[in-house]
Amino acid sequence: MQPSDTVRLLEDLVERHYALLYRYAYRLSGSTADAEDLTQHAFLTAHAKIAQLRDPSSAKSWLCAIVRNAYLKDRRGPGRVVAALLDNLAAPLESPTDPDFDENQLQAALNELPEEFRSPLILFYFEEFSYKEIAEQMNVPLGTIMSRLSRARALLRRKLTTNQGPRELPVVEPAPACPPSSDPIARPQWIA
Amino acid sequence: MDCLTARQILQLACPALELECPAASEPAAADCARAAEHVQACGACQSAIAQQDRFDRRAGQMCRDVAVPLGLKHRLYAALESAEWQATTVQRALTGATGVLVASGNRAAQTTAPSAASGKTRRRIAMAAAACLLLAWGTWQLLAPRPPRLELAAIEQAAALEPIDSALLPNLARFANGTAVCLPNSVNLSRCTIAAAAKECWLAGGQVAVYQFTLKKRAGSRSKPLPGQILAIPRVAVASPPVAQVFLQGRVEYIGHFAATAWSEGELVFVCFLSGGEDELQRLAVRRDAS
Ligand SMILES: [Zn+2]
Repeated sequence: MQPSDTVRLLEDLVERHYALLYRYAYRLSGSTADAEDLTQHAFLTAHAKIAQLRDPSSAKSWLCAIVRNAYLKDRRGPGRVVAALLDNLAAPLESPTDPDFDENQLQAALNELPEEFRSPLILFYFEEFSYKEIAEQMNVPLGTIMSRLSRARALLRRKLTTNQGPRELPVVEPAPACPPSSDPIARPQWIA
Repeated sequence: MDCLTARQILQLACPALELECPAASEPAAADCARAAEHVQACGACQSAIAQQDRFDRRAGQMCRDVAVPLGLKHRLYAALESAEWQATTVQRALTGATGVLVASGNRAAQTTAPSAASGKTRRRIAMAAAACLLLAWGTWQLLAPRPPRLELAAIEQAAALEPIDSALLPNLARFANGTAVCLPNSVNLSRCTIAAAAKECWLAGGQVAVYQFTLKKRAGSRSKPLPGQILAIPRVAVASPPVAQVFLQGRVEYIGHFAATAWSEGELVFVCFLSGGEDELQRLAVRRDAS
């Protein structure tokens, strides 16, 4: 591939998929800063490994897989033991009413799901991938993905139905700090 | 078939609640058909499935509804541009240097072959190889692609003429090239109300950090606080960085409704804009006797 072709392909990938990748990274990590880092990491990895992308039509799945791998690497492993145990749990929920929840409660409930349930569930809710594509991204058999999706949906609903207590306050991220005062252009003393 | 088994089979087979038969690895087609038959005749199951469906629609909608930060696409392009520039530069350097090494190596091999050259000849060969390497490095320095440079005047114009609504902009702690964003030390902001965090703004094609502030009115004055802003840009990204090294060492220019002055400090180029004249800008100068 010529360098100019690479650049054009990467620009096309950014244009088409950056919003989806950011949303996926945000739902995975629950943090805007981490989501942006993961998105940037995905495109830089794509830049370095673009030769590995044989079929541009699978770029969306490929990029999502890069995001997830980077996220798992940051978190030092996917917590397989918990996920394996949960594979046999979460029977359908009997509830007389629909749960009432907001965006923060949804994210908090997602954060509580084991990653092996959270990732496919997010991709399923995004309505961008078939079960087969999700299974390929997660590198597990189709049957396992369907089973996990079924349990993940039930688990999420259970969490949001049983966590109907007082709503949690939204997460406020701290303002970015300037370098420490040893830096030659550190923040002056009078800044609050 | 009982309710729980029927729902589990259907959920497992058809997470989207499409009542169709699953793939071969999923519950047997006969079980699926019996489960579907049960649900069609069972009000409790229909209600439970409809409830899960409503939940999925709502959770799915909320899950997809994530605001993408302003300027993210530009930041990604900038990061990719920088990576591409580094990759091409390294590649060119490697091919250039390897070519020289191979050429000099071959020559050395020829001369050190059976005839056994003297120490003097070997020194000459080594010097020639070093000269070749130096020449290649110099040529690469001259010819290697450079990242695009920003015109400070264009950024100043854009900043002065287009009002920047910092409430809509994301915070910026580090530029795409890794330089940390920070306020200058040579401006006295003790009379100003200023946000601790810089906002990211794209002006004239460049990534700029913007600190908006208001300068408190003079004691006894009836005038309103004066709005101003400090722009910060990585010095390496600016085509001709200002020679001035502290605030107000350079010229004061009038752009739009602002008096403005630019200078280079640390790794950054700063431009300070203040609504008002040069006299008001002087109020932001650090008094020499104070330090
Ligand atoms: Zn039933």
